[in-house]
Amino acid sequence: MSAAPLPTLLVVPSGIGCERGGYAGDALPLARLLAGASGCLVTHPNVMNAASLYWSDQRIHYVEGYALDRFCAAELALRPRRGRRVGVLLDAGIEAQLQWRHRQVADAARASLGLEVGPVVTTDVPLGVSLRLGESGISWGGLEQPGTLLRAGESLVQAGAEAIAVVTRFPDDPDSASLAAYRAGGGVDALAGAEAVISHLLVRRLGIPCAHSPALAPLPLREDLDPRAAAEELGFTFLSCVLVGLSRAPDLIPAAEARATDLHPDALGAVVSVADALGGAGVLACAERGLPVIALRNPCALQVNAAALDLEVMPADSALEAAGLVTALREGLSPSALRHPSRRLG
Amino acid sequence: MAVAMDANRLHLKGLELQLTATAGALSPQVLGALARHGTPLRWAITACCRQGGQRLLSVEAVVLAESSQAMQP
Repeated sequence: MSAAPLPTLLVVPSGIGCERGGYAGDALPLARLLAGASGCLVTHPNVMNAASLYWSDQRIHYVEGYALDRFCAAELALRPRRGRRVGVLLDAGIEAQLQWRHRQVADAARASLGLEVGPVVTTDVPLGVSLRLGESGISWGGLEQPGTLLRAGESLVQAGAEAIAVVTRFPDDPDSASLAAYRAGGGVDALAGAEAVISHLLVRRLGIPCAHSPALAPLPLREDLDPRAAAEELGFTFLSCVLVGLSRAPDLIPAAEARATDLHPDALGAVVSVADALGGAGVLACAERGLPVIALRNPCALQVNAAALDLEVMPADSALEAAGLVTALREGLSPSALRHPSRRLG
Repeated sequence: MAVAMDANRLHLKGLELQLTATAGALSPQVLGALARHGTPLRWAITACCRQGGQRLLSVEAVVLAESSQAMQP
């Protein structure tokens, strides 16, 4: 008989050029592995979203980054849902034909997957997404019309939406060096920072699950496309995975109001994150609460590691080693007992 | 999680700060530094080095701030 699930958090920060997880849902295999090892995984859309591809696993809780940070800080609990109605928020800056493609994804999700999707609303004016890179080289972004975004979100909630899939028009730059690098399996996902800001805004305001899907013109075929980026070039939109993820995303409950059947932040048993990117709000909050942090080797654009931050972590050189550590924690095994040589106590 | 900020006056500010960390948890120190500029929406420590026995943090963030006048679309 296996041990009870060990709720485990997986964070692979978006927009920092992670070798694994910095592309099109390429951290999904890691999430599936850790879900198997832990029995209960909490992770964010960047890990689970693979545009036209997705994987639905009842052991995996899909929690947007802002809410995830609040969960890590022990401010929120998660209440599992069997299903929820997902409203779709379209940026008025998306051209008509591409808007239709997104509406058809919503229809397909209803007809072929049985999801509750709708209504679909369009913002009053284009939202004006902008992209930038920080001093560190990681992706950030901005929005000219945050008020417009929030008003559209509020109208969706008033119309019955229990989660929001937001689609905004991102600038096309098909000839850019950064896009070419991304498609070849290098560089940073330039869209990720702006995507995070958009979904964070909505979750913070509305208190319901939200996730973002960028609207972009299709790219010309590239025969040497890196497999990690391939999922984003299969269709006209990135929306399918977002609708699937949000359809079973948990409710966000103030921790003080949690029921016994909710996933309370006190139940978190382990955190798996990127060894050189431990300075994010969620991972830091968990480390400062004394949770075991498994620092997985995953080269990225940053070098903010445990030594720099004075954190104690369990290093893991591979996904398989990380899963082994989670399994050891779940079984109440001391990881040091599995390493050779064993040290004497006396 | 609903906040009292007027959506019509809201704007986003990108920040890059340098912070000398003191002993103890880093999150409260970062949040305190960011709060002087607005309400933190997303942040991360993106670099950390030691100079003369002190730990210097580079923090990149996006904060929310309210304009004095309503932003018209």
